[in-house]
Amino acid sequence: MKKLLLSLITIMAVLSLSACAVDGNAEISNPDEALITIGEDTITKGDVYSLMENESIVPIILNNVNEKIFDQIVTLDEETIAAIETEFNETITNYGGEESFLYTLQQYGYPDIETYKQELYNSAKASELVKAYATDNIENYQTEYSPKMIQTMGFSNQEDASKALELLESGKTFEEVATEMEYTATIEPKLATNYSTDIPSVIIVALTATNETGILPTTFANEDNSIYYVANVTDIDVNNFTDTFVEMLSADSTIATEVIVSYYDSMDFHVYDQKLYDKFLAEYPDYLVQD
Amino acid sequence: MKNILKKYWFVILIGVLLIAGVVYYSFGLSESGEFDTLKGKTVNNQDVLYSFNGEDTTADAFYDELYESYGENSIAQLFVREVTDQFIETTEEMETEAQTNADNVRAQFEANYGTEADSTLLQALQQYGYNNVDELEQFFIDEAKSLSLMTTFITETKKDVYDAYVAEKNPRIVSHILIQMVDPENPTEEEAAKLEEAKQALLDGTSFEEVAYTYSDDTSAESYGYLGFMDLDTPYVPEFIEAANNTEAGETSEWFMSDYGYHIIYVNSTDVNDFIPESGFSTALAEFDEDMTGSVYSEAIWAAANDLNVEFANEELELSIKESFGLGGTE
Repeated sequence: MKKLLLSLITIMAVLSLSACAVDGNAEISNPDEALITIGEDTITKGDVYSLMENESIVPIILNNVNEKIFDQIVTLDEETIAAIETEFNETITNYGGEESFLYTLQQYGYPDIETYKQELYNSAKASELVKAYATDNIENYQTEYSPKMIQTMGFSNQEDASKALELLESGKTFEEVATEMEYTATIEPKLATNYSTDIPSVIIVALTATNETGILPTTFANEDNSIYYVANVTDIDVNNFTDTFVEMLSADSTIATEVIVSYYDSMDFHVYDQKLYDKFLAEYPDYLVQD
Repeated sequence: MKNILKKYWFVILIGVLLIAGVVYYSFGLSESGEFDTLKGKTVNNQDVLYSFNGEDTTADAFYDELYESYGENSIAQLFVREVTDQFIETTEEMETEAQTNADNVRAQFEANYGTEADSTLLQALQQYGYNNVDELEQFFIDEAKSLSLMTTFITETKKDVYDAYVAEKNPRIVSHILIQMVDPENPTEEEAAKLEEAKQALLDGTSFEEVAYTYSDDTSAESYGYLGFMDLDTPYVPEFIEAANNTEAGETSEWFMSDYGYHIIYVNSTDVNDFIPESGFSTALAEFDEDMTGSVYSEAIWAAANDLNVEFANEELELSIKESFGLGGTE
């Protein structure tokens, strides 16, 4: 009978423990270790850890993981390294030397100059990473962004815009019309995509409807009718302006996050602590890639 | 078997009920998604916080990393709370006041942040080293205790220094109205009219704060003229120092002229209890007392700690805490 009772108690204990075990609660090994004893009370490592966990720990972890990705995936060329070093040295000079620069950095929470320098390198590596990814996936982005190179001229009245359009349609080049109409702003071709914010939305809409180069056959007013535009599509073949397009993509923070997250996924980033998981979920949910 | 069941039926019944309960509980957690949220991981008897590319980062390793940036400050926060808590007894008055303050703050947060009130309040408390919104009352009790500790230190431990400081530097808390003028000797009609309006408003019984808010050209107008702590060494113009020096607590000076225009001063307080929350006071007293190496606050905490039998795990920790209090190298 004793065996039966013992077995029963064991089964109950195991089941209870398995149900109540606090999984996903990463603790330090020695939370009760006393750091300071004041009278009868102690300040323990566990107390300190709990308090430090209140800091913005998710960005610290993201920074650590990102650095690992950069170190493994990205190699900066000599030209980029030289540019970073020049920028770094110039910054120090502009701040009046290392001592005063360190003082400024410390006001912004940097512990030392090296951390700042590392950030410059990380930033350059992140940019390279995103560029490489964007280049590899340029066809997907091409469909989404519909990149085109265009020229525009903007006038303060409809008459001038109509006259410019008439001249363009008569066969004159953009440059010739600009000269004739004493247009002084730049008419250099620039990248236009479905998401361009520096180009009036009416032009963006018109661009989606065209698949050829040439003058758009109408004038366009901006939202408050203060500027009237004429536009010329100079290139629709992204192979001719890949660098410009990739440069634009790499500056897009959504794409940068998308790229970094893809490495979190492929290199198996996994959180084992519930509190940390909840913080990621609240602050940086995109980076939680585990099943 | 029958006999066994008969004899131990109660034990078996309890056992079966317990197992059923555990199974039901587990099933409930599983259904709600709680049971399968996250599984922990242990490597070499250490809990893993996260892993990346096959490399584990343990909670211990992360503690060390965090400690480099935040350890000293966190320990200092805990140290101050513990010393203050043990050195100053919690009074009923403190508890009542803390409850009132906490109720007011909660109501304010609820009005301002709605459903986000608790999380916003928690963020605010975390900056002071508290982990839970329920600790808001404790926060206010700790604040009251901290104030009490400072007062005790200044009026008892440092009484002679404080008395000498008051006699020599005449500290006070002041508010101020300025009617700015390009050339105060020859005010424009507009400037003169504004001055007269401000004077008349005070004569008519409008409060100093309200007149300051409405008429003052000083940046303190937004704070109803409140300038805060000053003493004879505060870098104000001599006319200002003289007027403040000659005005008693609760009284208003005469209007007087400086290069900036016309001023009038109200002395809010000359009470040490009102000085203590003002950072300028702590600095001024510390500068006055040659024996002080840190701020008055640090000295007060450390003096209390010395009375409480403090033991540090190691000398390095003791030195780093002292340094964080600006007391490096002192006993």
